[in-house]
Amino acid sequence: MNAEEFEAQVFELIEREAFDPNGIHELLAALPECREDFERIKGALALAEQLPLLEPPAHLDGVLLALAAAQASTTT
Amino acid sequence: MDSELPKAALAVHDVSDESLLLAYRDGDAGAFKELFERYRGPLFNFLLRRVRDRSRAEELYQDIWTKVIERCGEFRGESKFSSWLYTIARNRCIDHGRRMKFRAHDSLDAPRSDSGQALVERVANPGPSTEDLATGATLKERIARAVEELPEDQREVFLLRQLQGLGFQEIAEIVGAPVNTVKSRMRYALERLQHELGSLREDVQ
Repeated sequence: MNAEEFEAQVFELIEREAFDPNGIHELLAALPECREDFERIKGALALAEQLPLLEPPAHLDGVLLALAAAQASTTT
Repeated sequence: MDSELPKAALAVHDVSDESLLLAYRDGDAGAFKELFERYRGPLFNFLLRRVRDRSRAEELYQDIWTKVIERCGEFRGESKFSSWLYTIARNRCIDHGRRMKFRAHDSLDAPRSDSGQALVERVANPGPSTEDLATGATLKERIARAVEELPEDQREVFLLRQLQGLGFQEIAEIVGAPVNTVKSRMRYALERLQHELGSLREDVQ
């Protein structure tokens, strides 16, 4: 893999690191110019993980599930 | 695609989304409930950050699920359920955006109720104190605000990837752009977030 290919696949390589850390470390050792980019994107993804998640309103979920059940009962 | 669920062999969470939808189409309300559980949170958060207004997001959330219920007969199982769902969601968001633009043109003289500051959960003081910066809540608020300030094309790619964990190829199909463009948008979004929140980065790592 060359630097251009590494750049194009950086997201896939970050995911791969979780189950193949040695493989990724070897790749980064062979392509030191890509390390900074790899670490920068990894850091930004860690930051993005902190995006707060809000719950949908329970009353809406109730309405939707009731609608779905009513629709299903017309099918059977 | 076979809509029969091999109940003895598979736990319901092992069943594909597409099989669940087809089972629901055939009258299995429990299949819909499982599918709904998988997507309700990510879809709601996608809408929330996409339209940046909680009441509109709730309206769209209800509307999109109603469409899924009513139109499930149109789903043939040739595409992924997630692609189908988010294509509906994206189109509804685009319609909503057009309506908002029209209303904005229509009411230029009206007083603005939106400060343009915070979006989903507005805070009184946008400038965090040093003490606030030390708390996770403020970090999360700042991340949410930074996400909502991303350009629309970057934001939707970012949200589809982060909230629903969709692959780039699937996102490309949903947004109608080449996969390399989608990857670039994701990269720009992350770079922008990092720039906006650079001082907080080390707190997270």
